[in-house]
Amino acid sequence: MRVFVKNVPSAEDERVVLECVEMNDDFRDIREYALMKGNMLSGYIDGSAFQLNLSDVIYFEAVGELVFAYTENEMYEIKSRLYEIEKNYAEQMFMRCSKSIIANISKIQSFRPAPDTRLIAKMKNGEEIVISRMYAKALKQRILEG
Amino acid sequence: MKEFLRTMARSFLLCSLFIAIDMGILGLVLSPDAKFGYEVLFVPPIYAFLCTLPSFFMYSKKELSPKRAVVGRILQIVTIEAIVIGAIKLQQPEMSLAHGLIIGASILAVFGAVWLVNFLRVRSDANELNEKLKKMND
Repeated sequence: MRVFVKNVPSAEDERVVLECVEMNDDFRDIREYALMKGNMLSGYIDGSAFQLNLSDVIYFEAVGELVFAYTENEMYEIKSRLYEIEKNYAEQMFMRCSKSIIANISKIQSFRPAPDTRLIAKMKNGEEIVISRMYAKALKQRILEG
Repeated sequence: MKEFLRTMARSFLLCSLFIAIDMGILGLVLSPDAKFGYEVLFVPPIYAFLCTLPSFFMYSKKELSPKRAVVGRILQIVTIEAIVIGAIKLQQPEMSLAHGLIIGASILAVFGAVWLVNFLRVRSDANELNEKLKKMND
């Protein structure tokens, strides 16, 4: 595979162009990687690919081997592992809330204590996420530090 | 696991404190003239250990939903009641039903007090975070 690198004058002009005979697994991986590095990511609904803005994602959830991104109205399957999402989007207001959930901090509306003395985050779409004790301290620190 | 152990250590210390208070109140009401040796100082930590013991058996790496966590708590209190009343019954086989009921109620009171302290701590965290979120959204 040949790789060309061309300098551009501004960040707005930066892009990755893939030229391929067909979209095979290698190109799909490169595409996913490139998308993950920006503010867009691709999600799938019934096998159809959609581009979604990272800031629209309320939270990511791992269900078994699959990972889903939840927006206000849709649920997309994401072809990445949860730890990859955690690593790639840590700088962008995303934070681990439990073993299976990474939430967008900017989409948290409020917190309340659960009867089992864990924290519960109410998201802006009305859903509630239980914050695991293991991650509560780091989440609290991050929010309080702004 | 680290966070779990920290929570257990906190519960153990709170249990010790509330058991000591509970023993003091019950002792003053039921048997104000009783005299004890230094060994009585070991009673709160021993029973606090017995009270925190079920949590280790109920520890799960899986995240429990709030409903299942509450069911876990109910199982925990039932187990604690059984362990503590069983331990006292072994020491005092002649223990009356009324005595058993008072001890049962005391265990509930200690459990409730520990829960309340933990709940208020988490509520305080929630309030602090809500204040910050409010500022972030303004």
